[in-house]
Amino acid sequence: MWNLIRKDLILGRWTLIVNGSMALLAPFILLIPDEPPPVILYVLYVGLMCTMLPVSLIAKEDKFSATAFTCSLPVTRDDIVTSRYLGGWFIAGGWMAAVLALGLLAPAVRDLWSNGAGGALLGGLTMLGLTIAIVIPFTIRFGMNGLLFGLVGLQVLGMVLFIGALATGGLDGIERAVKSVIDAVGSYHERVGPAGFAVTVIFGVALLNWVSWKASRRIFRTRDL
Amino acid sequence: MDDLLVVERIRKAWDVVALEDVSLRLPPGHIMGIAGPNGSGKTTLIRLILGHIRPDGGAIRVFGDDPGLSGRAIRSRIGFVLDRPISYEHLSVTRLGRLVADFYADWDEVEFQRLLDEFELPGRRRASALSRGMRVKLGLALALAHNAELLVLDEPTTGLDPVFRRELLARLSAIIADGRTSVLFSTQILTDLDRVADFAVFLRGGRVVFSGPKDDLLDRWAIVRGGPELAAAAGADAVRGIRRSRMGFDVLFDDMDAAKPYCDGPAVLERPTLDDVFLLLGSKESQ
Amino acid sequence: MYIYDIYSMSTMTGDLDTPETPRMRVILSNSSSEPIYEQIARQIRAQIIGGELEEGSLLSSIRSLARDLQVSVITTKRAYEELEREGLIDTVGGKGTFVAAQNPQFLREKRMSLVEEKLADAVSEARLVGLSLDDLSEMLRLLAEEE
Repeated sequence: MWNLIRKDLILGRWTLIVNGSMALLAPFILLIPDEPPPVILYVLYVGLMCTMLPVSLIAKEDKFSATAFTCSLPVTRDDIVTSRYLGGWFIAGGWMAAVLALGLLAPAVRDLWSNGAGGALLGGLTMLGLTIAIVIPFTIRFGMNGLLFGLVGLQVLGMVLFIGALATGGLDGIERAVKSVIDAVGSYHERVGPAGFAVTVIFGVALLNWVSWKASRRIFRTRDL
Repeated sequence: MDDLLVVERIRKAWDVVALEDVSLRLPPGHIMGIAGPNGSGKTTLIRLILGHIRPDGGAIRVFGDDPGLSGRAIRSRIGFVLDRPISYEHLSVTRLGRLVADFYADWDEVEFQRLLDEFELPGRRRASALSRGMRVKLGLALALAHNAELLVLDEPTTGLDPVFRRELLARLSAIIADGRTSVLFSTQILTDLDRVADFAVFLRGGRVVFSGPKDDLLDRWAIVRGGPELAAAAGADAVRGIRRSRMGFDVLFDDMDAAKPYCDGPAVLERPTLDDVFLLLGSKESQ
Repeated sequence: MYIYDIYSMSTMTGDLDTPETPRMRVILSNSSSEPIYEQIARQIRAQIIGGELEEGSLLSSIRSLARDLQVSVITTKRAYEELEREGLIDTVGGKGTFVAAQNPQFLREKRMSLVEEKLADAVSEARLVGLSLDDLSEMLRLLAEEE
């Protein structure tokens, strides 16, 4: 398992270095405006940059159809899938932690954390988990191009829905639906308290990743490379 | 002894060609060559055997297990040389070796270094800067350094100069001399099978047109070249192909003794070359 | 359509010297109409009958012979099988293939049949050029005296 992750690290070292350095710049970019942003925005931004690391590795592997080579090595297909999840968490999570820790060296960034640190970390974690859980099975099934098409498709679909809602005056309905979800989350938050809420979210993200991992293994076993 | 590789009635629609009803068996210590033109299904077959793609029907067993699902222990007994450039080519030869070594429990680094020397592969050169022949050698070195018992090579001779090809085929026959290791390779060049191959498989349009010991073809089969009266041979059991020639007909027999009676008068009997067999096999008089 | 190999070797020599194996020389021709396994069997047979390969000496294994001659294992196996059938060699499981103990009478017969074969060739050649039996005997006598 670790040899697969190590292989990805070695093969993608330049991609990792470039994307990783960009993530390192995140704290400084956010400090450019006069008004410091809320910490959650900062964490989400760093998180976004860091999730790009494993995604770009998968993209690279997919683009050069290196999977055929990997599959000829003494590893099972299950191993390959598992290594993508473990590697994804390891690389994105590890680098995110490192960048956030490095950011603390700058006093201005340290100040950001004075308010809402817990929620920000939870938000970052959720984004990381969601990205991994969605991107990996999607690329395994449809390839990297499939993922890009999927993202574009979702945007188009969103726009169509939005325009449709505007035209039919259903915008209020959407707004109400979104608002009711937010309210439900909010009231749940109040009921279980911050700790309980965090546990629920972490559990949810973990469950989603587990389901996604199971599904990916199933898909990959019969996929022609 | 158990066959290292068993392919039974495989079907697979993939790329442009569909494999239909392909079967083969490869015992330990032998070389099997799969020959056919582009688009005959060679690469599809190799990829099925390596487990890259899954058959639509039939079964494949490598060391007794389904190659698509087999575990590490079995997969480490397979060595492979793919026809497409492997994608990790920005790495140096030595680095690539270290990377692959990581996956094999019985990797022999001393042997790998020895092979690099023997093949005159520069360890510090990027894999992408190697010539086609060097690349095949690198693939071979990687496969041999982990004591593979089944070597699968996809068109290793394509694009190589004759000297290099001869060298490679000699190397293959040295590999199987231990009586344990077998080699399976595909090629567009029929004469690659002339010497060292024990078993020949001819593919055409996704179907096996011949599969068996190569010596049977060269020593037992016969071609009779003669006049129009040879058309009478068309229905004979031993006839495997018949084709109109300028003088009359060329007829391919799978049994020299059966061919002799047709050889009276001006007709001549010849031992076929592999090219002759491939061209004549399955052809009908009308063509 | 296909790339045909224009580089075709006319002969291939395998000089098979190892400490244990005596000198055994096989030269193969690709252009001969004689099947490769017969070429191998014929040359080894001649060396056994001619005494170059002595009784009890170890021959190259099927596999190393195939490797050295660059032919298929099936080919060398077939050649050895033929020699074995003729009683010229013995394969001892796990030990290797040896030149069989030759009965002197049997060896003599074999050699005689070799002489006969060559004479038959000479006779048919002589017929082609219209030599009479007397001319041929005379030629043979001269040759024998020359030695």
